[in-house]
Amino acid sequence: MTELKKTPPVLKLEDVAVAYKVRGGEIEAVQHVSFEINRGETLGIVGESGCGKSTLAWAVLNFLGNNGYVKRGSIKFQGQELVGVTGENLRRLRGDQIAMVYQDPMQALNPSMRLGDQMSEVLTVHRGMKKTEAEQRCMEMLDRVYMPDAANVMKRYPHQISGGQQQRVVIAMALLNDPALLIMDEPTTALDVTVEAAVLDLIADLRREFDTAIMYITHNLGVVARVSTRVAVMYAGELVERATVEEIYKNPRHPYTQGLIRCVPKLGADKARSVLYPIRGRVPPPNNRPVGCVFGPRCAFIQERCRDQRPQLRQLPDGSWVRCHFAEKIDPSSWTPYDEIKTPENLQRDLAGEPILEVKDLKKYYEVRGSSLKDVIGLGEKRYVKAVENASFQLTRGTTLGVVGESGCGKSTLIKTIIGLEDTTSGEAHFLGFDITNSIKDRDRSLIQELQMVFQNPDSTMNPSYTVGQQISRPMQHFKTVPKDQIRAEVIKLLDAMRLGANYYNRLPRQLSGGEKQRVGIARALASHPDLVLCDEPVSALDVSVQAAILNLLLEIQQEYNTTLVFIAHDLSVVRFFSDQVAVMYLGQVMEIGPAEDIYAPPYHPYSEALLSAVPIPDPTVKQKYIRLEGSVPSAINPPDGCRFHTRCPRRNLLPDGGKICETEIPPWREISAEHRIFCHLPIEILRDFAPVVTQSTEEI
Amino acid sequence: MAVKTILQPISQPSRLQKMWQSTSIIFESRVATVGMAMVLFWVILAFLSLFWTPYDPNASDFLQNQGPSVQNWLGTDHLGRDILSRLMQGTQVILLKTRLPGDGGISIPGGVAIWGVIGSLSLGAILGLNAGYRGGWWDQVIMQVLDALIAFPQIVLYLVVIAALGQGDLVVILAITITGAPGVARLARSLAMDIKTRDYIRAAETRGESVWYIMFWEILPNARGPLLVDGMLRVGYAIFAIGTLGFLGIGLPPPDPDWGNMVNEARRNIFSNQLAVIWPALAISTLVIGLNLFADGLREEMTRYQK
Repeated sequence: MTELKKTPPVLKLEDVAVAYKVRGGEIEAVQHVSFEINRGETLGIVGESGCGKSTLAWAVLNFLGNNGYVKRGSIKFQGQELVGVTGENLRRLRGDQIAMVYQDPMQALNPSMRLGDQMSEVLTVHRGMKKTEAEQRCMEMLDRVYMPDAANVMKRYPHQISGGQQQRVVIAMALLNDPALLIMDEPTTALDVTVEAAVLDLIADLRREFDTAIMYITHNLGVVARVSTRVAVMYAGELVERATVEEIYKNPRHPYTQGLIRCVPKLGADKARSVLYPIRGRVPPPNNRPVGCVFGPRCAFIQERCRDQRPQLRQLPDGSWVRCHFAEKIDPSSWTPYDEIKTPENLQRDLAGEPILEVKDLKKYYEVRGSSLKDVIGLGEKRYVKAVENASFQLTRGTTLGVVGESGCGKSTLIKTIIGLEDTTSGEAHFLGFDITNSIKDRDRSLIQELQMVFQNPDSTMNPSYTVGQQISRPMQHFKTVPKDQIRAEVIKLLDAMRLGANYYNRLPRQLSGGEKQRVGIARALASHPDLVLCDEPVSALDVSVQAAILNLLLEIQQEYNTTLVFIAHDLSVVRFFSDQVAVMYLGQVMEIGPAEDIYAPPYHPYSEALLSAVPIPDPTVKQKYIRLEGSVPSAINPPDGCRFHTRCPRRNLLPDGGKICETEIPPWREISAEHRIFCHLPIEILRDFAPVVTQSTEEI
Repeated sequence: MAVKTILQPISQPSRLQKMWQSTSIIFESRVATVGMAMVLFWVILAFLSLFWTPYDPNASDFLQNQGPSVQNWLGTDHLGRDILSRLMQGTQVILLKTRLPGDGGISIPGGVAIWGVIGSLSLGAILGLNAGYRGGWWDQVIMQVLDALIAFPQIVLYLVVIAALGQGDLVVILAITITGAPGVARLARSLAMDIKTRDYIRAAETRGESVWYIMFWEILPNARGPLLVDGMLRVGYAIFAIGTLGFLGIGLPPPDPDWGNMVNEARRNIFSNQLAVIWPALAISTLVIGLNLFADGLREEMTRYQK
């Protein structure tokens, strides 16, 4: 330890401020940030979007673009000042000793170069290594990041490998020169949970093995809990709290950190027994920050002093650093929710009520055109992407069906088929007794009106050319649900229900924040008073505090209008919290369906079990079973025979003969209870024997 | 404090402020400002010529082929007409009025170049939106036909249209419309193909909106920026085309002076009076360059990431 103390920290930031020059002045995106990272340490930086996390990462690499610069403070890398370094020195540093991994691997890799060539370039350019030697090193490195069949991958182009593998290549590339500092900016955000889990394991392994210092930026509290040793919380360009990972989650000191943690549903929490508390207000824009504490306007504990005086980052007796005047005096348990949050009541739903949507053996195949001459003239054998295979479920009025699964498992196709954007290949679907296997063009207007949809991306959910009022009133005009002279009043009523207010009526989408746009999207879907609303990842593009508010809003609306919801999300904690019934999909096939609490407890389908064990949980004390799926999702054009999951199933060796039967025969539906069914060859007794995936140190879920 | 400002109702900017906001973008770009000044110069001159020109543009009041003098600022042409008056009057047919056929001498507001561009914008947008939004066979058929049209040299197309329909302002408008539409359609198609992937189009589809509603009320308003800039550039091309046709002697019919025709007529005396060729040529090029600069600057400013 004494040996370690002598070497300077790998990265040390002191009172750093970063500013961007914009038209008519300057914006200080980051202010007063100080921290250090030592060898073999991962500092997780969390915060909502727009808090300056990425700017900070770019500042270290001096990569701020033409209009950004470090205004104050010093950034020291291994004792050497980085601010002001330019030209050749900077270039050498960037490739050689500081490496960066970005969010989207597809954009970090050059699509026109073979992976082997772009990887070895790092070594031939920075180390002057010979080509053959460099390739050898690259191959070794790919093995180190657990890339299967490394030699083959070297010869491929980026688009020929999956997203998780691409990110591994990017990480391998970053590690090639044995950098002292690795900066990772949301490296797993674009990946599926199962792939994310594997990449996070890899990052943790590499830190131990290479003794690299890692600066890990993310908005996901669960991910931070899994990879970091220490955590820094950023808010509005300032560092508000810095402590060890255990301390942050067990004993958050800053009201913002406490608020963040209250926003996220715990895995296993449900809407009947727990409430999400969004943080009120929103992050102030950098040119309009309050004079006093930046978090003051949103803080529940605000005092006179917070309004006038900006707090300094100071160390508390227990070693954690916090930027709050009253950190010692704040007792999180004395926190009371704001009045505007209604505690939902009576949310337990009866699944045996009147069914509103019945789907039986629904199939959706897309025809794919081959490229051979035979295919072009239409003589080739027809091939299909089997996007949805034999989906069957029932949905009771007023309940929520959550659909989870990796990307490409057919969740979106399922709801597109139900709503009629795609026609059905075969199977039955009845909505309120009407057949809905046809496309929307053939449906009656009164039926269309009852089925509406909420979309994922807040930036594209609203037409930028029309005001909020025009967009919400359009469905009312179109379906003639409201007389013309009352439309305005009705829209304002809806806006009020969305907690937006009448003054939003004339605003254009570009004047709204992401959460507000999403609210308008929900209002538009509700404007025709539909019976069934299909939500395609409505909260996954939002910050956690906004996500909590939107989820609460949806719950309230469901209660008020007795709306039935189909809710797609990839975040399993959110689905658990929000849904009454959950369907787990894999490669177009529903693998398990049942009441939410049953899905998240044994007996599990092996796939559900693997998904659950991959979810990053925002609590470092929780123990999670370690199950990692190998390989990637097979192509839906040629799905595996028998059980579609057999190529990756970690549990099939429990069957006699190593699970030969899974490869050839389609599994039976195992009825656990009237509502809970599992699509697996494993007998119920074995399924029941699975231990729960998540165990808390004290209580079991 | 920040919360308070957010909660306060944001007052609506007045109409004047809104107009200023949307026009102030022009002044952000030096290129666009210069371009606009050049265009405005001609527009003002055009309006002025409606009420006043130094002399009667069609009267042979002076000596022939004179250089600039105090009396005739830009000199006179081969028939002894004042060139400045003719240049001023020449802006009218391009920018301000279209003469309808018949003896009544009735004209409608909006010059030949303007109507030609409006024509090609509308035709091109309708075709392009259908091709881009519907895709499939619609796309194939529309784009193949338009590609075939593009394959002809423009001047040949002009000649074909005018040979078939005879001379006249409306015929020139039609010629400009037909030659311009394929380009506009390509642009509109690519915009439609991009915009149709957005979620608000999905929302309209799940409402069961008609195809025409989606094309013209959901897609078109979001494509108007690039289309307007393209239209502005096209006004320049149209003026150029009118000049070319005038030079070939098949452009806008007399009696109103036409810049292209002025160049053509003065060409015969180019060795004795060069300036008579240069003035109308300069007029055409300044107006076209002005429009180009204006459109370019505007496009650059609109596609900027940061406002």
